[in-house]
Amino acid sequence: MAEQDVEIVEYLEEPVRDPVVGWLQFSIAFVIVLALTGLAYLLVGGVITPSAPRTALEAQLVAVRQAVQAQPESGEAWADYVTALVAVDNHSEAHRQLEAGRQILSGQQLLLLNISGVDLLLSEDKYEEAFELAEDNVSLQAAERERAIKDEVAKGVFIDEKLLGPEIATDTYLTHAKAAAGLEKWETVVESLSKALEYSPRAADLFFLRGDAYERLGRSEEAVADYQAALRFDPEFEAARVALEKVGE
Amino acid sequence: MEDVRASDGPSEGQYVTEVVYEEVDNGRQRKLLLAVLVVLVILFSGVGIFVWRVSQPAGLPTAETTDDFEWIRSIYGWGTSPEELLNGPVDVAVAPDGTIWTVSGKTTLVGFLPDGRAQQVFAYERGGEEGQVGSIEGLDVGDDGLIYAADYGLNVVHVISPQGEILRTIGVQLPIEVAVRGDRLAVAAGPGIAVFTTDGELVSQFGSRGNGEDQVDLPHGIVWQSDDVILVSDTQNRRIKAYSPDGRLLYVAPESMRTATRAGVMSSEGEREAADTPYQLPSGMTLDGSGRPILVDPFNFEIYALASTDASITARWGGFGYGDGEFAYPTGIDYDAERDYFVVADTANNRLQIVGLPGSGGSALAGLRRTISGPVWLCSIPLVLLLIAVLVAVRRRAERKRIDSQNP
Repeated sequence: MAEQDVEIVEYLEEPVRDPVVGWLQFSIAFVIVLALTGLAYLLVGGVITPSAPRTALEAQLVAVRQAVQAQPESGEAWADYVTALVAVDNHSEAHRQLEAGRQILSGQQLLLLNISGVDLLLSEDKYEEAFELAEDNVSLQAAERERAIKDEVAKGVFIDEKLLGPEIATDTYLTHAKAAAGLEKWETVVESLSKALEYSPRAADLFFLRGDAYERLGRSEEAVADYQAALRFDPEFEAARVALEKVGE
Repeated sequence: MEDVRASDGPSEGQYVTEVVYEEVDNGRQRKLLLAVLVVLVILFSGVGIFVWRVSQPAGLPTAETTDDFEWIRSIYGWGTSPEELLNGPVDVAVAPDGTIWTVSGKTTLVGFLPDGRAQQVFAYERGGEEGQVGSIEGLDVGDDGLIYAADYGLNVVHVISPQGEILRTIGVQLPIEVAVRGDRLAVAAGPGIAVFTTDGELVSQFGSRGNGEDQVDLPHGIVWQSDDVILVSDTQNRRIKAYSPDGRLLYVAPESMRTATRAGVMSSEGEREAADTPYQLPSGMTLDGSGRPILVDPFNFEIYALASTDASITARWGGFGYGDGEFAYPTGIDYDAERDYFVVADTANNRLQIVGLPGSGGSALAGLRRTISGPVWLCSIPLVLLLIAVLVAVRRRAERKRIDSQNP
């Protein structure tokens, strides 16, 4: 058989394919190859699992994680870690670390972690749970304060109770007030912020928040006084200025 | 689909004349394949969008921080342990192949790919023995990819291969910054400026330490503006000076600082104001794609574009901060012409930042290269497969046409 004849026979023996079907098969194969290439790019390029931090927030997360590993007994380190996880929106990990820290810590160190726990719950709008934890924090804070005072007195040191860890006490009552605000318990908010102000009497933001709570309770005079106090301690406090103008109208 | 088959085996000299037509439901097959294609496209698109969203780093800079320039990425290190994170990178140099070289902790040379992944890490021991370094303050890369590292601690400039081997050293007292152009190496050093061949042969040496017209005080930036002009950021005197390679002073910016009042950063606030200089602490310098000198000022936390003729400030970007797109005492900068971006050694933030600046003179191709920087070779796989498939299809179609024309 001549060469040309063989070619024709081979050609005729092949099924005549629908060109549209051929193009569709080709497109499917191409889409699959494209997807596999994308996957390989993500893996090789380290896009899914970057080996190093890529932003300041990620770098901060790395730093606070290392701080926890270096000082697992530090409530502040755990609290920073939980806060950093909330900042990167990794709430599930934040909850895991909160629980892990609570297994290890006790006393004032636990209180520090729990304060960040309240903030975590507030960021998720879980006001009931946040308020419950904040209540525990208030009790724990009081107990720890009492124990610390006793220890100092036993050493013969004269103690001004308000100067004993004012930041932790302030944060305890501030987070308690925030949780109460979430539940719209405005009387409780006023009480908690008043307690916080005993420890931080020049904190403009506390005055502002208490002024807001007074305003919601319809106690305008007290609200005005608090907004004015906020502006006295921070003359650039724009929100307080706006609120004061609003109440004055 | 029509299936054309030979009824019997062909014999020599005889054309097949009898064919059997087999009816196939083409429409059904088309619909099925189309459905598969649509499902795959939707599925892969969904997965792709999900992965893209998940893989986005947290805390990307907002428009407010980088409203007048483009933040591309930050590089923090090559791992997550403390020793794998950048530690006070003082300078940065971009190699012709796009590798971003920097120095961490003054002794570790690190090369990053343009997409931010670490490529090479050379941790040298501190010391004066062979293969050791003292304190690397400045970097530049030659056209051949060799790295020139100013070692302030050992009074040498190391010439280092991209594989990390110290090939040779060039003796210079207190070298702070280096700039390579062709076969010339300019070194800004404590006692003045020196120009060498890249082989280490001294060509010229000029200036001395001080605040006089022909003096410099700890210059932290040097760049070849052309073959005939070397720009020096005279850091402590808070001025920019232009020299010819043989040491002739071409101009001083600002002109009022031709003789600096006193060592700038050490003087009182009143003296600083009286000095009337726009630079707080001029440091690292580079040239962009349009030949415009670009300067970083760590005390103003800013990047300046300078006029090519008199080094006056024509534009400024940035501000203090710890977030991405902000700077804390940036001391070094280099330009990648291939990708049209600047790499800034954001020293106190322990990171490099890659930024795009307006008017940098980059081409559209540079923007494309920047966008696809990464393991680009992977993207060529589907393109090559597509090309092969198209070629095969075209060849088969041509073959059919040829046979059809021979056997109508």
